[in-house]
Amino acid sequence: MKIAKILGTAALVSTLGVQAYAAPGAKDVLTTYADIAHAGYEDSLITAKELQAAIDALVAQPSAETFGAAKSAWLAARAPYQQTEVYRFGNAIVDDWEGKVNAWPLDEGLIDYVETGLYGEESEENPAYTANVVANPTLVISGETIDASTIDAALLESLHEIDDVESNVATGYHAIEFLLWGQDLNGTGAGAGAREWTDYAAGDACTNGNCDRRGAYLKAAGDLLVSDLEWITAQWAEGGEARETVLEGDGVPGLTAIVTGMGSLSYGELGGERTKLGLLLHDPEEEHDCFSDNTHNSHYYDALGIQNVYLGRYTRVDGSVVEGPSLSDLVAAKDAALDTELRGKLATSVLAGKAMVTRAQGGEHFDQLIAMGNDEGNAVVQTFVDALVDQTKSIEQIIAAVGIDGIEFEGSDSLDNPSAVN
Amino acid sequence: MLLKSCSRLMLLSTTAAIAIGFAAPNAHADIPDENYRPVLNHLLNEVMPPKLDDFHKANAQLSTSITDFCADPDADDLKDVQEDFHQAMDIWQEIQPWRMGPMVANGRDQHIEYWPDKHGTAARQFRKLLFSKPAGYTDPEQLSEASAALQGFPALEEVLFDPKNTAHMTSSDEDGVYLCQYGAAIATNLETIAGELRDEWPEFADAMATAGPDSMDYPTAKFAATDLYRALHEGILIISAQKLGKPLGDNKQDAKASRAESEVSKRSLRNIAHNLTGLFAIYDGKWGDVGSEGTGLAALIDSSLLDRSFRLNWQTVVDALDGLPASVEDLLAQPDGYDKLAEFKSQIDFLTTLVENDIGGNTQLGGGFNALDGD
Repeated sequence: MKIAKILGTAALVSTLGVQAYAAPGAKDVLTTYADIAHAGYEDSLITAKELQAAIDALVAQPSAETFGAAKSAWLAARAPYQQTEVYRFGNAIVDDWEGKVNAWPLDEGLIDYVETGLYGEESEENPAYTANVVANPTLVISGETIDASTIDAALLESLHEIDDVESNVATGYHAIEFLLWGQDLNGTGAGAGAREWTDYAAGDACTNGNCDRRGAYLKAAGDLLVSDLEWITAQWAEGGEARETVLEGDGVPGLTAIVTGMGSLSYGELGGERTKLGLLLHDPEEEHDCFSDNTHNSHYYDALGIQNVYLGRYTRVDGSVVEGPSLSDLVAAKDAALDTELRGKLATSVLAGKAMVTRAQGGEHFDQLIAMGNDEGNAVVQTFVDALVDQTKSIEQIIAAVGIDGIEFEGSDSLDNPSAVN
Repeated sequence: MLLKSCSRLMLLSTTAAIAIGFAAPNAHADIPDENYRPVLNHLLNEVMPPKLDDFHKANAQLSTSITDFCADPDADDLKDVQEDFHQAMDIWQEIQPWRMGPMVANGRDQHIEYWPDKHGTAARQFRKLLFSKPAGYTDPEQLSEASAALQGFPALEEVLFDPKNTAHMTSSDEDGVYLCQYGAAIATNLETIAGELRDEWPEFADAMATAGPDSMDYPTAKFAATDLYRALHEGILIISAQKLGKPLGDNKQDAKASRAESEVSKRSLRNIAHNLTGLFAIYDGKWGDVGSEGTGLAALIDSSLLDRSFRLNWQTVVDALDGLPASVEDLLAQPDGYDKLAEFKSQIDFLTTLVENDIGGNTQLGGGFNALDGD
């Protein structure tokens, strides 16, 4: 891992606070890429452990204070994790794993009570739509009886995507988010989910029933999140499979992974699925962090993560900086104008994401921004989409600039096999 | 049966590859940038505009038809409206794969047809709409600001073809009156969108055809032509992954016709037939009475053998589809329907391989990101 303060000899110039390196080799660029991945997942692990401790405190001693602390810990944990999402597309090992921690959207009725007037009582596609694990020690899903009397990690893993239904999300950040906030029943109006701490209270103070089982679910989900993040962090450490994969060969597969991750997240996933869709449908059900109303931050940190890998620079949760020779340096050596163009476009999308954060800090969250008739809010979100689409065009031009064209993106589900990612 | 037909198709491709001696795109000298320009000009300035005009006219007819029907609803007139819906959908399905410029600007293609609906949003929003019957949704201008799931062809299809809704309309009860006014607003909104699309296209076409260093969006003609290749490639992928893959499911027991496109009006496979017409126009340059053969991406192919092989394979798929019913539901109702649908998908998948390897390679336009990337 390279920390900024011990670097310097390779630095030639510094623009926008980012070190620039003379035409680096592909291996140097990929080493930085792997270093940032490891740091990002390690930060995600560190903050997930803090969330785990907060959950333990809540379950042991339910109160408004411990409940609020758990929610704060969840919000803090999202910041580093979202910056790692750029590693998902292009790195099969990440893509195969990430559904355990960040699957979305979810049919939350699988987990706990829901307001059926809003949510509905059944789904043609999902037999576990209202299974409600918290309330039911015995589940019957598609004719199969499941013993859910003990809620632990093994049960949650067995329920995750049960019946091959992707929206049966039993584990990960969003399952925990639902258990901390509950459903957001405000539509496109102000306000997030309003679950009370008493949903975890003991005895007669317990609201909505089964508080002990709800606490057990939350604890199991928190423990699983930590163990899953420990696994992926190890894959990016020295000798880990993810690191070895991007560093092997002549560098072309690794560079392809970087570009695939940047482009796929920018265009189809963040620009399309998570943002444009919500705007088109004016529907709060389409927001990524829909229970907590934290979508503005998730989107901003996604955009920041894309910029991080291009510039080869990541600011850790402790404030230290990981940086090194970057794809930007490589592109600049081949086509300085393209590098300048892409740097500008990445900065524009980060700023557009920041604009949504600013609106949220002023009381107008993503679900309000996408509301029908909110022309000004819609425009803020559309600007973010436009910036992501625009940067994708420049990312595509990198392919030829660094000499990785003609490789057809082999091994990339997101480009070669859409049915696998849809 | 399945393997046999695929093997035959693959043999054609392999033969072509050996005969012209290409193994990878890099074996070819770079195609001069100027060679892409006439293809852009022909497809975008000559072939597409008449089709957009047809699309607008079809929607204008649909709007008139449903407005007349709503003045005095009866079952016979409803059939006329349904036929006008089919005519407009036929043209839409032909131009649908041309996902570029004004077609996709501000989600226009999604406003025309929001599909696939992975999260069941349309059904949920439609249910709420009928429950609350907001007056704004019967006004085309206000409807144009609403959810994409409530303002395009799928919503109109629900109104015109779902038996529960048509019963309300022909009996002119409270729900029927509202549905009629809402359906008329959708058709009028579609006419407006089609007019905007037709009017905005020429400026985009000119920008593409004059691509060059002065353009921020299209610095080279090759870069602009990539959008055409991408439309062809993405169009085939969508047919395979979404229009066929979704209803097929993982196996015969998992198959479900309701996951197919336009299945309320029972025309999911008819849609694909029209998709193939529009997609082949990108390759060939001739679209019905418009354009001329060999002036699309085919003009960039340097092997007549490969060109003939691709055309033959494409026609084989079109012929196979001609032998199937118009809807997935009707096909799956046949004893061997699932196998036929799976075989047809395998033929589409083979076309995808040809587009990627032969057309993408020979035109040097392969690669890039598409709307299917992501979850």
